[in-house]
Amino acid sequence: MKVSEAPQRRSIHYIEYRQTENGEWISEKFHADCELVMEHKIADGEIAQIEAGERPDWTILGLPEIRCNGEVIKEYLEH
Amino acid sequence: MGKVPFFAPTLEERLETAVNIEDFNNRILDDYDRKGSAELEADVQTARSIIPAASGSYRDFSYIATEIPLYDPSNCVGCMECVIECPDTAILGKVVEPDALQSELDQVDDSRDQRMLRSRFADTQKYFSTFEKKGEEGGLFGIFIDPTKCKGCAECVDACGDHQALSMVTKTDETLKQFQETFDFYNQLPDTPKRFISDRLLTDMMLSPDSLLYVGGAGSCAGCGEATALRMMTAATGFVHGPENFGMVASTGCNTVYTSTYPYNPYTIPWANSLFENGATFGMGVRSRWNQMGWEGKKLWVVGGDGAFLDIGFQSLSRMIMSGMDINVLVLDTQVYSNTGGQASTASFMSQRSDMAWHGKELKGKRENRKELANICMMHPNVYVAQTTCAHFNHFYRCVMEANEYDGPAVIIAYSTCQPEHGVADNAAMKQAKLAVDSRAFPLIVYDPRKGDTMKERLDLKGNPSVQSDWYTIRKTGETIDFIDFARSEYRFHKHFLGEIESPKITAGYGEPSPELLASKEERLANWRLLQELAGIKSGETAKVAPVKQSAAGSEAAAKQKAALMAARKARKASTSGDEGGAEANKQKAALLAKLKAQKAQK
Repeated sequence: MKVSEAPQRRSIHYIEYRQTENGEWISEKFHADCELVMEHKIADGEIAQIEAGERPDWTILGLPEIRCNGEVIKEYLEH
Repeated sequence: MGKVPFFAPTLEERLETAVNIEDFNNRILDDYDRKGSAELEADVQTARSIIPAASGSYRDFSYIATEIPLYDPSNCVGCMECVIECPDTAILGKVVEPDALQSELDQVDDSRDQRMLRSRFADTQKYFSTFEKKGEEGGLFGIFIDPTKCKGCAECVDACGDHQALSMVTKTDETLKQFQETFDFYNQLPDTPKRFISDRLLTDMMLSPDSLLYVGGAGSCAGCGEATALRMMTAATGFVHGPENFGMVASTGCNTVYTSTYPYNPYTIPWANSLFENGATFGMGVRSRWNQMGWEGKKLWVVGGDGAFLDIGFQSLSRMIMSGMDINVLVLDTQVYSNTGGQASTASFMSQRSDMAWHGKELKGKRENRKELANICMMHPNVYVAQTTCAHFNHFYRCVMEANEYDGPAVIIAYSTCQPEHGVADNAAMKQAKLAVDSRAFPLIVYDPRKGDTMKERLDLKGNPSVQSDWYTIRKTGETIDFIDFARSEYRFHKHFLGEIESPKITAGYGEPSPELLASKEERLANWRLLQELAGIKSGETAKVAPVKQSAAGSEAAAKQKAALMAARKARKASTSGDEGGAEANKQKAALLAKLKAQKAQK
């Protein structure tokens, strides 16, 4: 890749948590146009919060939109 | 306000009466925040050209950007690169002992706020696991954003890079308030304990309050490469020698405008502004007086741009070096007069387009070679010289520390990205500085007279990639990086790529380089080979280079090519009607490009 073709900016629109077919959870940060921006390493306790429809603690600051398996989480919608 | 005497009899009295801090903080700063210029009262500080230290910390830039960095602690490794590269001191790191953190968290009433604040801290290997393994209590590392200082450039996101712990997120009134509360919490926490700040890891320097001598609040552009260089220089000097043993003189230029826009001063250290041309000699005066006062150990830095040191103040710099005085100079090399709207300086690259060196029918950007200040300084006796960039932070810090240790004059030339004049994105300072080194546009240099008697012992090119070769080849991909790659990535060279002339739809930088730009590439190679020869890396035939200049013949060839392309464009416009016309134009364009390519190959 030529340097002039390098991605210019990495801003995120939402964070997606997704359970794969083998039951493993992965989390990724996406741009508004659904382009993957970067990955997020899931920390202890996050999945329990996500399953309860809550926003994971690390996302309380900045309040980005959180989706779980394609659905926007309850806490985001109620906020 | 009481009458303030202009000349008090003793130094102590003069210091006491220099500024009425209470009046300044309560009246002046507040007035400048709220009132229009017509309503502002005159004050004695303006009349005396004095701005109290660190008043920039009161400046609020939170209204500037629409985005702010979002920190993802579980991805963070505590490398501190985001903190180092921020030009505005808007992102800071801290290591806290768990008990100290808990005791501060206990004072927060709201449990959600508590969780939010606790989640700012990561158990990194660097500050937690490594210490636990040694049997010591580990520290929790956190990154905090000051929303009043952040201009949204996203340089920190690029600095974080593959760690992916920072991204930009849209600001709202609610989240801005959250960010402020979180930053207030950061300020309440104790300073990072000294045991977590390793002397060997230069990147840890900015964990120490002694290094944070540039508090932000300066009016520099978003992502300014100069401001990062100033922050890093002050950090490395303050960290080693203490914030009390340090002062600065600044030659007029961009750096003085954005760091002394009344009433905001981002420095915590003594700072004075000289005329454009005489920063170096002004520094000689300060050094002489300091030495008379017994302050020989205090570090003095003179800063300025390439206009100040390569052009208008060049003689003054040479005079200072010859004096042998213990003065350090930091040249913020933007290769252009940034402050006055981007006129060419002698540091501008050959073929670079700027004011006074336009790209048009007759002229194709700057025709002269770039002046190499480092080479000239090395030819003065007994001077430490370095050329470095903030993207190479270990190199940069080492150069500053060595310059401070050197008993005599030292000159450090720092590549400084200027977003508006180079035509690059706000988050590109580090990336472009790295590319400038990789492409031989701006090689890393350390020349230390203490290293030996010969030139090759003194001159060190370590840090440049593929140091034995003409150009850098990336091992993994086999791609060679040269000056054309650098030029492709910056708008200041875009007229040299013929695709841009052919069709504005083709993104700048995708066409074939012009003959003038190819001459500029040769000029950069000549400079690199000279350095290789001086450093003893190459000698004889391999180092031989013909004198390079932007030839008239080259300009004629480019004019012919351009005329042919313009004619094709005209013909395409005349024949274009609907899709068929567009297809015909594309055919013409492809044929023309193939013809040009064939002509080049033949040559």
